[in-house]
Amino acid sequence: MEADTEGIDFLELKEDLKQDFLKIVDSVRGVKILVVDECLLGVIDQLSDFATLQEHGVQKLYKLEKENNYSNSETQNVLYIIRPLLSHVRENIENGKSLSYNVKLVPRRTILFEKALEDMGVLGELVIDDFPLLFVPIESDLLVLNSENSFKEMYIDGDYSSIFYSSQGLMDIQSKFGLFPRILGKGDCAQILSENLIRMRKEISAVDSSSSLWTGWVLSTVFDSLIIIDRGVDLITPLLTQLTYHGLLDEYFNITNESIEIAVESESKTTNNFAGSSSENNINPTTSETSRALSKKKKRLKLDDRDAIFAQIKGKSFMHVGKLLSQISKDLQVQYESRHNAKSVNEVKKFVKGLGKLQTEQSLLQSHISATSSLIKFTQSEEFGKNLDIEQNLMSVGDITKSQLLYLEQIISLGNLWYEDSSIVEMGKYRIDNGLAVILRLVCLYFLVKGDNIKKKNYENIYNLLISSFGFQHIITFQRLYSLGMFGSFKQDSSLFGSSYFFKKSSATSKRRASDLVLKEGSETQSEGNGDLLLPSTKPRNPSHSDTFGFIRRDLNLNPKTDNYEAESSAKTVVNGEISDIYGGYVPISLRLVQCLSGDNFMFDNRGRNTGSRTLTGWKGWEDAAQNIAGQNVDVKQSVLYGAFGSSNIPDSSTTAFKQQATLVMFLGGITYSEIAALRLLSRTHNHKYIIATTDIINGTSFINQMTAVDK
Amino acid sequence: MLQDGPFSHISISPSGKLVALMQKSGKLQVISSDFQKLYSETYPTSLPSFEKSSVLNPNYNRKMLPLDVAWCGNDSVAVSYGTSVFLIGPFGGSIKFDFDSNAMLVSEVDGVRILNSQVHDFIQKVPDSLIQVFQIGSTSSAALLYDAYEHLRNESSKADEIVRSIKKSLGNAIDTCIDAAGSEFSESLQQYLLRAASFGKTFLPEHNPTKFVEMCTNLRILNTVRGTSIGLAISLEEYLALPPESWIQRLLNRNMYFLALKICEHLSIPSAEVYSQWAISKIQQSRKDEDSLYEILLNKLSDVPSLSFIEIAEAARSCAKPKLTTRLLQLEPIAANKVPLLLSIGQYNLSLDEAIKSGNVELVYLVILTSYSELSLGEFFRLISSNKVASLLFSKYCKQQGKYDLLKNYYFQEDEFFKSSELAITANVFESESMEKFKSNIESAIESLGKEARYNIQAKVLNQELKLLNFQIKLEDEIKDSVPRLEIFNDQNREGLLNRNINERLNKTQQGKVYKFVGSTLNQTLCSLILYGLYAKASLMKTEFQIPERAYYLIKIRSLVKRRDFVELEKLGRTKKPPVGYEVFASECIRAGQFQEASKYIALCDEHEKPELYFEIGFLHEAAECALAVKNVELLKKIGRETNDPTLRADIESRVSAI
Repeated sequence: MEADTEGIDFLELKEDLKQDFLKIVDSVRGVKILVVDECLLGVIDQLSDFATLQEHGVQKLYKLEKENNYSNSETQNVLYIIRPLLSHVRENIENGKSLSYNVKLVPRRTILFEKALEDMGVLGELVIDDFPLLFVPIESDLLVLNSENSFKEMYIDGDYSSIFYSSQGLMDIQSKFGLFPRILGKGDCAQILSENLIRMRKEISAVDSSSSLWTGWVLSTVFDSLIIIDRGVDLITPLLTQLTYHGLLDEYFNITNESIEIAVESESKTTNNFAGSSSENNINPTTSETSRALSKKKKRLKLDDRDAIFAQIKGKSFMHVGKLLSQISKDLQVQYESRHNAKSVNEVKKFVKGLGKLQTEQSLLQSHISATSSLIKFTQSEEFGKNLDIEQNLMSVGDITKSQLLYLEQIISLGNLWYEDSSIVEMGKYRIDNGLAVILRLVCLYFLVKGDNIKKKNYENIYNLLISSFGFQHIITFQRLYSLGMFGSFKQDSSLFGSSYFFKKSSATSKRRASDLVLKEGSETQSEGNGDLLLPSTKPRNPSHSDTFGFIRRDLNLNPKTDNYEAESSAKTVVNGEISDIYGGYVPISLRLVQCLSGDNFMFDNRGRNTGSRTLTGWKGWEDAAQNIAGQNVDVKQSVLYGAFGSSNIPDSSTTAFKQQATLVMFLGGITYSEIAALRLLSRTHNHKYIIATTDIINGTSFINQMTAVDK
Repeated sequence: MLQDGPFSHISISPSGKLVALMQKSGKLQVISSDFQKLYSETYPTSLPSFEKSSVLNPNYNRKMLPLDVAWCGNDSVAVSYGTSVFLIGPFGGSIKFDFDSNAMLVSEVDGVRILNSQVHDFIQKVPDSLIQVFQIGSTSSAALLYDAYEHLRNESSKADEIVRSIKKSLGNAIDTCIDAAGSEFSESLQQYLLRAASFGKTFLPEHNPTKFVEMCTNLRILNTVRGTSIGLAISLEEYLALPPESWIQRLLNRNMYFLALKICEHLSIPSAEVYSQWAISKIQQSRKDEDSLYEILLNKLSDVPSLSFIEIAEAARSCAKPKLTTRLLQLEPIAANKVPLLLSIGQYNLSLDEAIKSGNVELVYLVILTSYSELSLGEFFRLISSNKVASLLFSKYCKQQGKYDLLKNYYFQEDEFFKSSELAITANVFESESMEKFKSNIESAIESLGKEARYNIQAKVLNQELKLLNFQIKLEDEIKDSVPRLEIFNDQNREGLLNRNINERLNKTQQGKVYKFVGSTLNQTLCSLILYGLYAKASLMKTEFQIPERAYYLIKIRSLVKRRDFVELEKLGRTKKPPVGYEVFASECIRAGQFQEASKYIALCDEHEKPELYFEIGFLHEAAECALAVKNVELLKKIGRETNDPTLRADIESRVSAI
């Protein structure tokens, strides 16, 4: 976002992807129809625009939809760019049209998909290939893999595809920017990812060294380390209400493909022709007549850094956003007024030249103001305030008051009964007030923070209330949450309620692994023959404290300056902000872990130790905290020595003089917009660049919805 | 030109620019390779030396056609007539070589090989560098440098003098000497020439040593392979014409693994291929048992970087050594290669482990699908259940493909009670068409859960659901058909989520009969009863299902407000002190916009709750009064700002200042 990304050119990565994409489009000759998976639309928008697509023979662009008949146009060629989901096969088999179908699968073709096509008897009629689209640079410091539901897949389904794709993507990055000198991380899936990275390196050398072109790996001069944060180590943060502008928009409207749908007032209908909506006309497919009819009231607002206003306010705490918007509005007014001061013809010319930009900004400002007014209504509601109070009590004290518990029970009991008429529900609104997702967020938070200290009676009470309100089918949901430690894990009755549901036979191995904190050299981490892979867990293996969250809160200083918080949020912090602003006083565990592992001085200062310069000490000094957080500690040093000939004379990282400027932070299992904002804030204020890579971007609701999803 | 044919022999020069054609008439033509230009024509048989041969060998005659034609370098053509070989130059000059038996020709980049039953000769044009150094009377700088070195060996002071005299072209001289060493076959001469070059270098410290070092490396290899035990008589030029790997391959064909390995080390090129070829031939030839063979192989191969074990394992497999194959495959670094091979030799367990270890889900599915079609169902289940990840992925696959019966079977065999019941429940949420099916699904879920004590609470929930279902069925009969089904707002029906309104879904598949209760949750059912005005049934339901007092009140209040039955609401509030407090009564009324009703309950609320509530319904006077009572200054100020009544405002201002 800021200008200090020199040396890390992700635009180059994007340029490569752009070329690949056009090559894919060109692979079908002549005019064609392009049918794209909904969740890939945003990516394709990033890679190309409709004019370019037309140059490459694309006649029409459709979103892949159920029972949509694409073939009524005159062209013979259809190019699908979709993910290999079996539901796509079920829903999109057309009958008896003699068209030429080309299917490109993102990120790769899979056995299951082809088998499904074969079972349908259409495999022979399709030309299938893959389009290895892995990390897409959405912004200059943000790479997204686009694998939805990655957390549930890893922790519930045992499906590690997203880890595999992540490691492939990271290998691509390593081949461009050099080996990460050190891989650090926390979490069981993080461990799997780091093992994958080392094994893939071995595999690549095995393939490439057979040709004499192989030159060997070089250590990165850009990145000092890769830090992998597994969502499983910090389940608390995604459950909390996000308080940044970007985060709140996601909570309220659910950002898809980097855009939201908002309602626009009638007077702004005339000025509808602005950047956001024009990009809609271009890339958003002309799906059906109905959506076009509605487009008068609905508007898609594109949320990216091309929108200067948004770039300015997205990471800011929402309480400052109103002030900032009015400032921007005033500035625009001043610029408009400047036309009266124009004296010479040249000055008038200059003004007219800038007019288009001004108008665009004006209409963008309008959209942001209307989005903000929805958010203000939301944040001032009784529900928002009470829920936020519960969250903040849990975060700062570790418990809630009696009346808050009663309130929680109340919203559970009334949760599934009509609350507002569905006709009044605001357009584009994603959040359901005190619906299941909102309630489960609070309940899970309560259980997570209280840990083992929940009384059985209390737990059964909540369980039964939830079932009475939302239905018996949720015993499945609660069992999933339970297996993640998010739903009632009390000590006494563990034998009765099966804490061994996930871990039956692996307790012996887990101990060995957990104690395995020794720094490992890259080549030796492969312990061959260890076939029985552990299932990942979100519970700490060997906690040394009974109140684990309380301990972590103190040890990692999750609630800095609770006392002088009010005093600090002065005008200065409006501009710069504090990390703790982002979640209203609480600093995410995930973020603290990144700070620990990247050797951020701030963490050491806090403990009265100043190490002088930033150094990567790995887990040293944080063993206690690490022991009370779920998952394994990852710490691997990579050196070029292994696996390549002739490059052994390149010095080890410790002796190299150059200073790497950046750390790649990989969030496995999803990241929230607020965590992104917090990392960016760290980048700015702590003089070290963090580049973020993630499997997907989540919010509390989408996180809970993963748990209530039905496997199909 | 082609009309001059027929041709008996055609040979193309190593550079590809010239073609030698031997006509039937015995005429040798050299033309450009595009057949446009004739360079020279000769009749080898009319050469004087040929006449002499024909005297010795009566078989020779002028009409005779040659045995073989080949280029010698790019400069001359060799023609073999049996025991005599003629080398014919560009301008008709010729040299004759005689042999004891018929000679065959092999063209090389820099010369020609002549092979007969006893000897192997190599003829090439003397390289320029050698001419420069050794030509008699040569005054080239290289010759002088060599000469200077000879003087040095003889401890003559002239050495220094000579070198100084060629100071200007010393660099050239050194390079020429190095080149000459490369072209020289005699090892001692090579040494002299290299020493001469090295001697010259001492006078020219800035001279680039790379060429010298490379030449030494190359000569070392050349002299080794030229040795009699190997017999690869190649010149430097030939050696450089091919990449080192192909020379390694030639050594491997001769089973010279150790030498090949040493050369790899000498040249710093990967030696994986050498090891792999060695291992393959070891496996093919060895008579040892598989275990000791494995030990031998492992001993040598374990440290080799980036060695692919696939070919080695394949060799072991074709030699019918299955145990060795398996063990070797486990050493293979690339999972995508070894898993299919492991599958092909029937190692399902091992391939499953390897696939899972690779982290590549595709490979796991490959194993699952292959073993599903190869193994009996029992064996297959045993295989899948041996690994948690595999078992989870198999479940996912079955669910995606709709193979519920297979999955049910699997869960049953593996005693996965919770998952069995999960299947039945999801079927209820998404599939079962009738109430009867719905009921039987729940019964089967209860049965599975009942088998394990730790699912106590879940079993209780399902039993309750069954009871509820029976209760609902009874209600359906009692309610008249004419009464419409009530829409109770539900958590939005998002596709693919568990929170669906089952009642709504059941009604969609049902024709004619409309279910008003079946499929609703407990609270929804209670709510419906109150909305229908069946208050007695509602309170019966409360006792029967042990609905907590608070929850019952909350639902009843909300439903009564929705029904606008404020008489009943008041009755509820008056009969006994409600456990939820009057604040809930008030706020539900406010939410419904019934401010007048709300005010009744506000009066009953706690003192500190009153002001805010009054304020909300716009009863500003009451709000101010109550606020004053509890000294809520902030609210007082707010009321002062909001009110239109000047007396109230003034009153508030004075009161605020008093406090």
